[in-house]
Amino acid sequence: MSRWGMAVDLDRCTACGACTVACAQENNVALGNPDRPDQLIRWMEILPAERGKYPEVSARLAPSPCQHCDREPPCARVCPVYATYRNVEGLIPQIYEQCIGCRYCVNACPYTCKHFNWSRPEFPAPFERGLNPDVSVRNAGVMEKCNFCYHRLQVVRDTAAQEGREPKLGEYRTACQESCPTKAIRFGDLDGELEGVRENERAFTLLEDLGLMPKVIYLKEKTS
Amino acid sequence: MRAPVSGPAVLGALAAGLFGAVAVATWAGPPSGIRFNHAAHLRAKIDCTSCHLGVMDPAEARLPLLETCTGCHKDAPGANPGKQALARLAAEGAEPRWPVPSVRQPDHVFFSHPRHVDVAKLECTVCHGEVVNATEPPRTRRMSMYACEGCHARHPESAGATRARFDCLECHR
Repeated sequence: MSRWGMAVDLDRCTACGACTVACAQENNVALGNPDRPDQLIRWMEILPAERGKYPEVSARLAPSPCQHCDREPPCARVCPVYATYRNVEGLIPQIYEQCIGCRYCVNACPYTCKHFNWSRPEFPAPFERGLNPDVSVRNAGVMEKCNFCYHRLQVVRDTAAQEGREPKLGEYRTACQESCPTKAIRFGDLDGELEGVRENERAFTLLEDLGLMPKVIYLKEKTS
Repeated sequence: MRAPVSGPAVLGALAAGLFGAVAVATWAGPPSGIRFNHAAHLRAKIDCTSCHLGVMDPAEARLPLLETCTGCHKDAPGANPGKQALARLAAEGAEPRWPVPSVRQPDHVFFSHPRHVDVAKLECTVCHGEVVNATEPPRTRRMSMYACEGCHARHPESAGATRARFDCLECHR
């Protein structure tokens, strides 16, 4: 059974934000109201962090999708209706039709990766023609978050089955990975394409001491 | 003060109601005038995919085009009103307008025909059983989630069970 994960090389990442845009386009994330930046939804965010002490300060900008916690994801633990759970491949889906919008998971998630639809999403003139038919448009009152472009995995699996073969290594690619100009984002099976990435000496995960075993693994800068 | 209700308006409403009742009672069949008879075609040993060509391809239309019908129905229509309607369409070069799909999935369900027919090798009648004996075009019915779960959860011996997953994310995303 695959265990899908992501490796983000912060040495390669320039924080250009292409992944944020590609993700929003792929997953029908609405543009949002510029007057309410607090209600803005982006599944892939660039998390800013300050490193070092004055005067030797530098910024770390880390692309941060849902971390897909491997061990007891806090959002799944608090969800009263099983709208979010850990599936057999370790993905943490969000089922919009099941969600009642209680927002427990927003408060539970230590990575701030869950987003609530405060209003009905709007897609002004040319954007409504670019909606992805493989992904639903979420309505007001439900949570949403990154699910590692699961619809792409289904396409890969169907194509492979129709051609009578197993899915190839690296065939399942997420939108953020594809859009990354410096190839900082790598995606794949933690026991396949990304085997050994956890053992990399530069590897770390966000809020490691919580013990949630996130499947988004960062490789820190060599010049630190 | 309430606005007076005019006589013609009352008559109009009555007439509309009456017309609606008559229209329901004598439903004239699909818009193109073709009362497609599934049972007759199946008795002639015609495979479902001979007409429903797009079932293997998610992007293609699953309801037959005019050329699909005229590919077989080349002879003079005779007395059959359905064949006469088809000949009329062929003369005009107009595509038949079929009424509705027989099973409609809710908007939030992502269902793939190729995944079930081509990958899992399911028979069409597993879900569309009612068309086997249908002499009229099928009416739309909603498929409940229990019908899907029947295969996905409780029939591990079914043909596609090796790949069928019992996971919400498979259909709701």
